Amino acid sequence: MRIVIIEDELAILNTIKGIVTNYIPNIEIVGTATNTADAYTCLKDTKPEIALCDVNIGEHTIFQVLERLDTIDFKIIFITAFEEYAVKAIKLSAIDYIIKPVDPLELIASLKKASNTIDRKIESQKANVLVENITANILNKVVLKTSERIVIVTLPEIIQVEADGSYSTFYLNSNRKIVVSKLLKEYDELLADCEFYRTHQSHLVNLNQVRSFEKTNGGYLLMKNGSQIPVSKRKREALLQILESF
Amino acid sequence: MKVLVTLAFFLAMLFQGFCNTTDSLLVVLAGADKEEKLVIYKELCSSFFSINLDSAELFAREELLLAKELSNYEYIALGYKSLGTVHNYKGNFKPAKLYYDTALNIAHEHNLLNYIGTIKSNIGTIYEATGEFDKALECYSQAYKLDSTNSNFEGMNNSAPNIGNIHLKKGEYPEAIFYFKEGLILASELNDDIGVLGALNNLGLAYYRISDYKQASAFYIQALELTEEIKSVYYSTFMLNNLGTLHNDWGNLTKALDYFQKSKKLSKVSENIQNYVYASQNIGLIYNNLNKIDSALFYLNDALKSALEINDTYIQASIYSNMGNSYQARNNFKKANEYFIKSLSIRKEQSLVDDIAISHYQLARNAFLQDKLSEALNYSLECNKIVIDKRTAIDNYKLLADINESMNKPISALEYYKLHTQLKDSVFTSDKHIHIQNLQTQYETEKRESQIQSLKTTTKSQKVLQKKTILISSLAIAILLLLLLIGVFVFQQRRLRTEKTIAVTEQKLLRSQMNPHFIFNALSAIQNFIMSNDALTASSYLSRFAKLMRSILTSSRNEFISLSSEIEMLTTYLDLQKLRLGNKLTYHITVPDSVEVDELKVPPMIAQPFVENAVEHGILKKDSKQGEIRIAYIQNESNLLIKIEDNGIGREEAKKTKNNEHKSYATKITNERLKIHGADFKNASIEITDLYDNSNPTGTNIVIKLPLIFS
Repeated sequence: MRIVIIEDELAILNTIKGIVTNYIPNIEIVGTATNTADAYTCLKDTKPEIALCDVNIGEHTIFQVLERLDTIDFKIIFITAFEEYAVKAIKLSAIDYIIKPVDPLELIASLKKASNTIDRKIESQKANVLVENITANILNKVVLKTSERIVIVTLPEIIQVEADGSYSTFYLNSNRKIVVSKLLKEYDELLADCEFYRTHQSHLVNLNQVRSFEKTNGGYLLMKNGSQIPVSKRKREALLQILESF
Repeated sequence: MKVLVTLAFFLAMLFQGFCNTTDSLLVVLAGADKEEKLVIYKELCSSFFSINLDSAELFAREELLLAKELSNYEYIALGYKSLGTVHNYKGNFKPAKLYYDTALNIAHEHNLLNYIGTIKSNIGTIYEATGEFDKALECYSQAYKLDSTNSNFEGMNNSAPNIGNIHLKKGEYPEAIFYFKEGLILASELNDDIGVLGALNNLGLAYYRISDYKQASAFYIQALELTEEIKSVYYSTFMLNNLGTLHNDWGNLTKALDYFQKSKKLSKVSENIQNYVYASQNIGLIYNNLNKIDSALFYLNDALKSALEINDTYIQASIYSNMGNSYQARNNFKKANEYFIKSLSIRKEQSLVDDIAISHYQLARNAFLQDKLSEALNYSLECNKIVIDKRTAIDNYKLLADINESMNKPISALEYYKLHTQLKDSVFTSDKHIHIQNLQTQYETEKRESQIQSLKTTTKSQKVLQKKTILISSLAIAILLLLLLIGVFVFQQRRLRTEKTIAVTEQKLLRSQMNPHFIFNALSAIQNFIMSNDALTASSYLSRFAKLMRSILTSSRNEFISLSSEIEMLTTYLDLQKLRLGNKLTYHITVPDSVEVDELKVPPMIAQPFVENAVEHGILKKDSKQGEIRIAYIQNESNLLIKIEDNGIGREEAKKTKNNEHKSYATKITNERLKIHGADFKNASIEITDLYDNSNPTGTNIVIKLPLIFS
């Protein structure tokens, strides 16, 4: 398996190199880069299957490099210090990431998992969503990964998300339904700033899809598609306030 | 013969505070806003009262105009009042009265109580000036009463002497004395020196009028002392003159001389030439009466010189007249005649009838003494024609009788003599009458005074009461303010203290989480992995350790974190411990679905100190069995319970092996943290149970009870 490592901190680059060469069999480091210019040529020329990428490279970001590439047909695993916005975008595009300082066990697990599942087309789609979200400077698309496939949806399409144990079910326009094996909490955190609101322990709604708040039966939200979403007592007042100014 | 001049000042407020403020006020006026302009116009207006009434009127009109624009009724009333005063000073009493009336109406309409008194008082001055004393008295009395009910002591202080003066003018001495005494009390309470001075002088004057020289002298002396105290040379000379006049009438000529001498000296120093002339002339006059003609002439000459300097013809005439008397006494009739003629010509110019009569009498007598009988007769008859003053008339009848006798006209002489005796008798009777009246007045005054005294005691006790009330209320206000201040202070102190406690506790918490033992143990573990060539585990351990550190540092900044973050952090912590301890530790964290982990909030790392205790003191010291920690989160109706159970050696055993400082520290710091959060955490608690199996310790159970706090 061919990988490249892009990391501007030499010590971290060497650590990652060490972990990869020592603990992962059948892996070849085909290139490394410590700045964006090298990163660009490296990614373009070496045709890797996996790229381990630091987010911040000097004064720039890896996204500026990815933007310039015609095609991104390799799997990306980001290695980042925790930066909220970038992490949100990465998570929305369902791309792997590892938080610094790198836990070798985590990296190994991540690489092993990746080597089994590389589908260049899927990786390219995911990367495109990421670049789109980043360059538009607004989170607009989300990559939903089911057990069989990935689906890219725009946020306005989503009516609501419902928790089902450790799964989350997305209800979309035209009666589509997608089940993702992620906690609702994660999507709550990702979409809280995108006009989504958690009305209930197990319900996250797109506020743009709300038709009205009905006071009967203890109060519930009537969505534009006719579905009814429960509102917990505690959230009621805050929700009404939000809807009023919405 | 009486040329002594009694100076007295009738108005208590003689001086208006005028200084160089006018110019500065005009400068300020330019940059002032409308409200400020109002005040400045008013000040300017009152400043100009004593220099230029037209300017004063101008400013009063400006003020009035502006006040009307601003609908400021206080200043509208003041404006009309000022206009009234301008006309009052100008002697245009009718318009003055109209303006005052307008001001009064406005003051009534808008309940400007303090101004009503002043305006009434001003109207009173008009009536007084036009001789309508009864009306004036009514106005002053109303003002006084009004100010008295409003406790406007300043106003009362203005009115009291005015009322006294009217009574004085009407010859109602006991009443006059009453009000002057009231004025004295008011002025001294208000620290109004000029007011006190006026009251003392007026009292002296009143007693002088009823020939109570002793009392009069006492008041004058008091007044004199005050003038010296306030270093007013002008008023000092004034009082010295009054004392001189008093003693002259009292018959103490040496004392009178003494006072006039002092007055003269002081006048010279202060360049008060007018007074210098009066004093010198009075000295000359007294020496004339003492028949010390040389001295008399010396002083009269001196007086004349100054009188010529200041061009005061009236007093010049008086001096010439007295000098004539001096020369006559020296039998220098020619010179005496010269001076009498000079005096007469001035007096004729001024049409002062009585004085002209006196001059004629003097000339007649001078001629008679020279045996120029026909000349004497002419002058004397001329005098007889015009004379009004009875004393001059008496003297003149006697002279006419003498002249006729010398001219051998016994019948005429007898007739004039009869006239002389008749008039003299009538004057004597009236003099006697006056004397009796004065005695009566003295008696009445004394009687009134005793009444006043008792009245004053009541007023005084009332005043004392009033003062007491004021004192008590201001004391109460002061105490209230103080209490308020203390309250604020205490509140702030408490807040500061709470803030400080929070800061300190948070610091302690951070330190407890960053327990050096934990850090050293972690680092030692890493060291151990490196030494045993387990680089992978060492590296993994290190990165987890770093992540935990970051979490702790980040969360410790917040008062609350979500329960899910809290559980995540605790898991990381336990994972680290597990990595270090290997198989010796297992843990289970149970979170039922009913627990709203994302919604509930807890103080960060609330359970960590207890978990650490369980690991370090419970499990680690265990020899045989596997150590196990079970953590369960339970959400019920009103509380979140965190159960931490270990199967370690138990608290008793732990105490034996180690001092229990750290253990109690966990409880202590957690209790402190719960307390900081106040009322919401009232029911929060920590319960520790020691577990036994047949009296063998089997571990510890801890339950932390927290209120449900939602995001």
